[in-house]
Amino acid sequence: MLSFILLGCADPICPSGRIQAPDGSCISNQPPGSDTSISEITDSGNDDDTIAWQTLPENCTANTGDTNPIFQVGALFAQEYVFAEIIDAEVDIDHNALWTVGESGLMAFDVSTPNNPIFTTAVYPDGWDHRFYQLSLGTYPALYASHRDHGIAVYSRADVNAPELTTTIEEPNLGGITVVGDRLYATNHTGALHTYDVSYPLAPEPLNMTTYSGSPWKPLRNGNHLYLADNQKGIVVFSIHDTDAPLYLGHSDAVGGVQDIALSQDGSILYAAVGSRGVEVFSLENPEQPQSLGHHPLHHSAISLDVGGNNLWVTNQQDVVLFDVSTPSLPIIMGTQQTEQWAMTVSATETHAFVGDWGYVRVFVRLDGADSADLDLSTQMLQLPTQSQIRVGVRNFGSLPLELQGATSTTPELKIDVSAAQIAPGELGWIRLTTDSGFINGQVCIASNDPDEPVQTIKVTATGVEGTQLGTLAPDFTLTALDGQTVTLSEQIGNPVVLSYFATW
Amino acid sequence: MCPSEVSDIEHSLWQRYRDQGLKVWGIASRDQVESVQNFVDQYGITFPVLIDENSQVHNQYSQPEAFPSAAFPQDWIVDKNGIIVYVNNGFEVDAMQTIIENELEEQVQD
Repeated sequence: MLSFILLGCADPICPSGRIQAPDGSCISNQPPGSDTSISEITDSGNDDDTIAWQTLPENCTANTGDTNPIFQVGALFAQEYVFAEIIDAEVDIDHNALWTVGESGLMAFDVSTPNNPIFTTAVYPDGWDHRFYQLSLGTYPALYASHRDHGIAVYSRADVNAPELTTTIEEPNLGGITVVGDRLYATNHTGALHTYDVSYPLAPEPLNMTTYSGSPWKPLRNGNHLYLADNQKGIVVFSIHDTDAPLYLGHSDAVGGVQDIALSQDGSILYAAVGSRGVEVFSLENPEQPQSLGHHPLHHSAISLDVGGNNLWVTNQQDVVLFDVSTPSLPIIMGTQQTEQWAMTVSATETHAFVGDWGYVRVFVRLDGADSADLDLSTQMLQLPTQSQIRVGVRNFGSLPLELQGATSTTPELKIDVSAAQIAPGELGWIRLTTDSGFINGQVCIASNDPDEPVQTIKVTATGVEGTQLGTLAPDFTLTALDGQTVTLSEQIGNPVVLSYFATW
Repeated sequence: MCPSEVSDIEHSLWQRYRDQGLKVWGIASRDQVESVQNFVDQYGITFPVLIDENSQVHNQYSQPEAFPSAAFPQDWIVDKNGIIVYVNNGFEVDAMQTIIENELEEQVQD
């Protein structure tokens, strides 16, 4: 009799920002010797009298700072050849190929010289429109690409200049794919797992479909278990002892839903990209019950990650982030590199990371011996009444102390001071902004030793600008929702309301 | 805002605080309705998504004249008395949670 096992993990074992050491204690996930606490990021708050505010030197010129360990060795503007908008990428370094999917179907790149990717071709099946979601490399030469509406297109990748469509599986809503020996597992993001026999890699045969309540995307296999990155349920676990019929075991909750997962090289640790929660680290000591060891927050929303060598590469749509995972259970952040467009995906080898940056393919390596500070402001735009004060959180996401080296303001009616000129790795500091009477708008510039963004700005406008701002009554409205219900803002008095304007992509 | 952020709003704000009285409304412009509907279905979004029929909310809230087009605010939190207590053009779920928890801690005025 098979029983349903509810996986544990009501709360992470350690407070956020800390990782559990092998002896069970909660420690900072920083290099040994810098035993600093990691605190939650908070937004602007009220002034705290216990802080000894200090003024920085008045300058905001970019300075060289330390070396960012993330070094771009090559890039290709794929959009020059085809309407790229890359969403997923998989590198097949043994065959000198990089495969991506996105708005133009399946796109191929020759990476015989990894630093110099060369676009070869873009293809998609007749009658299928362009938007593909994910791809997976199966037993050579099979490649499986999942399409938003249609299903899976199966290609031979034997020739990087001419991938050949061999068959299609019409099955809507298929998102993620993984291949394990002669089994292909595909997730349906409305809540199902499909199993196919790929004894003939180019001709999958359906075997099984199991439904459950969830929204899975990326599946990964470790031994006899399949882990699904689920947007609703976190990490979903299936047993694949019976390779024809996966068995749903349960899920471990990860706040915010999981976007992507990757395994450590030794298979003992699972890393999850969990949106604004960043990277969550799970122990697979009990493979049926992944146990959270803690999480490392990031700027923006973690969306994709991959392990190569001792490196865990993460993209969060704006940046590429590098962690050292020599000790798999203790990722140590090394640095962050902003990218120009939308860094949606990364695929890593031992030495290189191939990042799909929307219209670009970028290639990164890790510089040994380099590490850096990384400045993160809790907000870069705010409104303040005149003659008031607010503090903005400043956090160091890097592995070296962050030095705030200078600050300027575009107007004397906007003053800046800081809680500390040096912020240790993982620590939170504050920038305090004060407005005088007569303040209308201004911009603050902060210079630091962050090699990725040595100069950062905060735009401030005074309340009193026409329109909607902090501290004023929210303009009333009555609108109809997608499901037909009609709502009026003023009828919500008594309850707080979050309004979030969508910009879809 | 990106899919992972909307998923965050669903889980970190709506599911987390709805039982305590928080309302969460997504707003989309009329010309995005179809892609938003797909999006809502695929990501299992359960909070109401409102259609900003005549761009009324966009014009009143986003202040398109005051901010450059790429930077106008996208998230607001309105307190129990109808006052705006949070405005942001970037997505910061931790900041929103802090504000929401402050709001929910106060006594409800009947």
